[in-house]
Amino acid sequence: MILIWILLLTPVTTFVSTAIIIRIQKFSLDQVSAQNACFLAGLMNGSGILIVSLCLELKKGNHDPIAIASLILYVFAFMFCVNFLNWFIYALTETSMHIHIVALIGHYGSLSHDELYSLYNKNTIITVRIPRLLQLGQLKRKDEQLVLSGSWVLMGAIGCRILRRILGIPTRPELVKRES
Amino acid sequence: MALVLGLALFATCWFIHLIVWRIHRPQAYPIWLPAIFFVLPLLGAIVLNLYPIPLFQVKSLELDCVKGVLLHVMLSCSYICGYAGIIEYSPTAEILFVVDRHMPAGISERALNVDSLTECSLTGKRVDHLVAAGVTKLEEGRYALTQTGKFIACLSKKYRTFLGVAGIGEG
Repeated sequence: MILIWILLLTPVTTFVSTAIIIRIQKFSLDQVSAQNACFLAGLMNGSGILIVSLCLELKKGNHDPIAIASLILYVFAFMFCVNFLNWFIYALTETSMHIHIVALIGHYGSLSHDELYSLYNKNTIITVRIPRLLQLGQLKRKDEQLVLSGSWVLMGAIGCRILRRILGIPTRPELVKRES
Repeated sequence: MALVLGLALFATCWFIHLIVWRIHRPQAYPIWLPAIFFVLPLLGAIVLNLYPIPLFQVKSLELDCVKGVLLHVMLSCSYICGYAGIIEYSPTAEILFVVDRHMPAGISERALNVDSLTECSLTGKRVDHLVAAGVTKLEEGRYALTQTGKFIACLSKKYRTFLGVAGIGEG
């Protein structure tokens, strides 16, 4: 029962940890991006929850290796979801085009079609993402050229394409036009 | 038991989601997905409660059932949130696909042109969504926020202030 209450609190503790990390890193020389702060908070909370849950299980006298392995997998799956949701909510406010448009209109009060497009268009959308990918270690500059350096975001994107294929959704944007 | 129950429940709901999507993909997925992942299991639990099954009478499994349901809820919330990344075509992903096609030489930032995305499919599509959802409105040729839009903008700003980052994201 204690474990259930701890698990229910982890989304809050992960979020608060993220806020603390972001504030602390402002005073350090090594700047941690807010996205990386989300992952770091998730890792810290996940490790803590795993240790606590293992201690609780061993305290009950349960030394069955299958039960222990099952508990580890359960905590891993649960904390993966907590970490993902923590990052997702941040990403929603930082990178979501929908939210950004809402924030822009809210900031300026109202915007005409041309004003909105001058502030937020294909060029600005793509330009703002490149430094983000460089900071996340997914791209790097090599002799003025952009090259892939990390893979997890690309793997996620490929995973989305596979899911689209399974669910019967056009796998690429240009195929949506053909379908319509 | 909790792990197996949680994964089995999520997998069953996901399979039902696949069948529905394959028959006819609904436009109103924000209604359909919660209905499949939350309402259906709830209805199933109510039905099971009417027909006592020996397994669910075992007191010691009650906590495992709660933990299993908790895992299912977290997996479902993650999937429903992540579904936006499946249904929408992320510009970040399209940038990486373009760079990947030019490996190992890479591509200069100036030459990076993501042909798969257009103004219409980026800003235009999102503006249409927001107007259709009643978050923004078009009045005398200008976009303004509705009460819902103002609430969302305020919530986002407060969240970001608490987190310790700039009030508006980079988009």
